Amino acid sequence: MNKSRNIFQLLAVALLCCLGVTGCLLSGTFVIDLPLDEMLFSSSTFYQQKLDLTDNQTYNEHKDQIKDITDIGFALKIENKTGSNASGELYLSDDSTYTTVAQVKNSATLVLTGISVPPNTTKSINWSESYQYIKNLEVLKDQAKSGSFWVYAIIDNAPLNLRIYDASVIITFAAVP
Amino acid sequence: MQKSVKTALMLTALVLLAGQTEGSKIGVGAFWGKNLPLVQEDASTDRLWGYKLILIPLSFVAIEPNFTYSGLGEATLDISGTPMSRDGGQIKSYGIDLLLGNFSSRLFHLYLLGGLSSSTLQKESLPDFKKTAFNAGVGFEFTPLKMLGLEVQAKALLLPLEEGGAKDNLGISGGINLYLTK
Repeated sequence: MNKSRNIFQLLAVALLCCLGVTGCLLSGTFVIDLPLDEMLFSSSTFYQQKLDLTDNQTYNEHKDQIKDITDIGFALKIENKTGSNASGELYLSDDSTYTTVAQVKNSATLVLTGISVPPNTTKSINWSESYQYIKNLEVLKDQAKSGSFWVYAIIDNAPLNLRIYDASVIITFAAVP
Repeated sequence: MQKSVKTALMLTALVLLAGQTEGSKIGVGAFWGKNLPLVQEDASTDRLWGYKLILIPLSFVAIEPNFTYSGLGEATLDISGTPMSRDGGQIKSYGIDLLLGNFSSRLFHLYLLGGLSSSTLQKESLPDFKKTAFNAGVGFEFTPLKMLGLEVQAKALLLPLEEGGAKDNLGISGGINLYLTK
């Protein structure tokens, strides 16, 4: 009986050590939604804005405990008020100095592409659907880990009467207290 | 392939060992229940199921190679006033647990378990993530017949993530065990 009790205790201690070392216990995953400003394409095919995770309360509560960015998605609506098809792309960079489409395409990282909006319609892309348009997810995660980055939206064959609204970047991260 | 052969040889040795010891038992079991993700905003309660081989070489030790499916439901978030959801994924685990308890008792027994598993986290649109996970838990088995056991179990599955942190899950299940030897 004593033998089995000792084995019980040994197993419990070994298990707790393993879990403690790997930081498994008390770990959690959190999801934050970072809203983007409305983007109007009325006079330019180019739009840039800064995305700062430190503005988010949940991120700030856990920022010193974040171990891994596990998932990133988007949600947005695109209103095309013209008579022709519209398509566009989103790029990310930690450089805020790009001022032309060519600079962005050459230097920033393409993260969202393949979105096409028929004439005089509004296209909604939800969180789950956004993954079919996402490219370079690992770069996207690295940028998110840095805490802030710049988003560049570029409209191809611009009809210049386009609005992107209700847009958000949705970031999932793992944190250990 | 080599790993599978090693595993098969190890299991065969365990079965032979179990068969030669007085009071040893061999059995198979299946279980069903719920998987409760712990502090995971990207997942929700979902189903859990699995099956296992039961080897009891000594009256107080059992070894259970097993397969466990742990569903992770989905995450739901209100984005600009619209509720949106995203697949939480699933974890498929091939593991081996060591159980300590009084397995020679006639009607029922309690046990503690600890183990390791090769676990794969699968989530829609993301590459599969495979890593060794840790398991720990407690269980209770009622044996109304020598060849039949009815079991309830609470088992934690802790899957470490690539750069730290983990996906912690608690599985609550009930199951049926059939013993092939006395």
